[in-house]
Amino acid sequence: MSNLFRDRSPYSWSFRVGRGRRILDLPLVGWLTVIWILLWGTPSWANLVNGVLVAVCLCLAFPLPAVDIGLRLRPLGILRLGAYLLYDMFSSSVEVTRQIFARGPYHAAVVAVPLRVRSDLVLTATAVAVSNVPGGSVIELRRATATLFLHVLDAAEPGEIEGARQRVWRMEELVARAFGTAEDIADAARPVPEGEPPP
Amino acid sequence: MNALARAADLAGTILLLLGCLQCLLGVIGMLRFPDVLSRSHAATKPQTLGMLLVLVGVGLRLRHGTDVGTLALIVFFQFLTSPVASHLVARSAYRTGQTGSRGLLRDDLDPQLSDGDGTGGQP
Amino acid sequence: MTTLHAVEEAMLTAALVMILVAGALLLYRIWYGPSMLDRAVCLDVTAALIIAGIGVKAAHDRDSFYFPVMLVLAFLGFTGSVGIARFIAVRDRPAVRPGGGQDHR
Repeated sequence: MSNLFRDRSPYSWSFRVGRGRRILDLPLVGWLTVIWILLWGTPSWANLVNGVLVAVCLCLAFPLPAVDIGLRLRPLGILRLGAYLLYDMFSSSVEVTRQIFARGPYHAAVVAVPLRVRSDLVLTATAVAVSNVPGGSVIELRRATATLFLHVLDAAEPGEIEGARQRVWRMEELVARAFGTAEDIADAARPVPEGEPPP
Repeated sequence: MNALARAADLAGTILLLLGCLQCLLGVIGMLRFPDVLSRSHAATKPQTLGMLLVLVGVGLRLRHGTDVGTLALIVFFQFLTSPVASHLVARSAYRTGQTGSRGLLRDDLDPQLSDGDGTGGQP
Repeated sequence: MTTLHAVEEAMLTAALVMILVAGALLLYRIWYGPSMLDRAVCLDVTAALIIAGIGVKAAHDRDSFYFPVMLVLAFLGFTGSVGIARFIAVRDRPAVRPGGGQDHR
C-alpha cells in the first residue's frame, strides 16, 4: 500500500493498493460506513469496524473509474440552496393546491430553458432540484446544449412561462454556488440568455 | 416531561398532520387533473413536501440521534430517487403523445425531436 | 397534560385517516387508469404514502423498528415505475381515433 494521495477532487483522499487500478477512496468508505451504521441503528464499535471492513471490501471488489465530476462542497451555498428549496416547495405547493381546486382544464406548454452552466453535475443537480419542487416537471434534458425542457401546467396565464424560466435560472445559480467549481459559478453569474426561442 | 419536550411533541404532531394533508391534497389532484403530465405535477406533493413534513414530525417526536440520522437519510434518498421516476414517466408520456386532449399551447421540444438526432422517436 | 395528550392522539388519528383516504382514492386511480403511465405515477405515490403511514405509526408508538423498511422504500420505490415507463409504456401508444380524439388504453 503506497502513500496517501489526492485524486478525482479536492476531497478525495485515496490509497493506491498494490500496483493495479484498485484504489481506496476514503470519503466513499466513510459514507458507506455511515449508511451501514444507520441501517443497523446502533452506533457501536463493532458496527463501526464491520462497516469499515464491508466498505473496504466493496471498494476493492468493484473499483470505480477515477473521474473528477467537478464537485465542490460549499457549506454556505448549500445552506442557501436548502433554504430556497424549502421556500420554493411551500410556495409552489400552495400554487399547485390552488390549481387543483380551481376550474380547469388548463392549457399546458413545454418550454425550453437554456442553462448557462455546461457542467454535467450542475445540470443534473438543477434538474433534480427543479423536479423536486411541486409544479416542476422535467420532460427532457439535452446535454449537448445544456437545455432543460419543462412542462408548465397553466401556460395560458400571462407571465407564467417567463416565471417558470426565471425560477429555473435562479435554481441553477444557487446550485452552482452550492456544488459547482469556480468556473461554474462564473458561468452562472452571466446574464440570462435574452430572446425568446420561436414558439 | 418538561415543557420543551412537550412543545416538540406538539410541533411534531402538527407537522405530521400537515404532511398527511399534503399527501391527501396531492392524491385529490391526481384524481382531478386530466392527463399524465399534469398528474405528475400533483404527485410531487406527497413525494417531496408531504414526506419532508411527516419525517420532520417523526424526528421531533422521537428525538434520538440515530433515528434522526436515519430519517435524514430517508429524506435524502427520497429526494434523490423520485425525480428519476418522474422524469422517465414524463419523458415516456411526452413521446407517446399523452399530452392531454386540449393540446399544448406551445411546444419547444417537438421541432428538436424531428431533427433526427438519433434519439428521436425512441421513448 | 392529559388534554394535550388527547389532542395529540386525535391529531395522529386524523393523520392516519387522511393517509387511508388518500390510499383509497389512489386505488381508484390505479383501477381506472387510463394509461399504464398513470399507474406508474400512482406506484410512486403509493410508496410515498406507505412511508408516511409507517411514519405516523412510528410517531404514535415512539419506536424506530420499521425505519429500515422506510429506508428501503425510499431507496427502491422508484424502480417499479421506471420499469413501467421504460418497457411497458412503449407498447402502450394511444390509438388515434378517426375523429381525431385519442384513446388511451
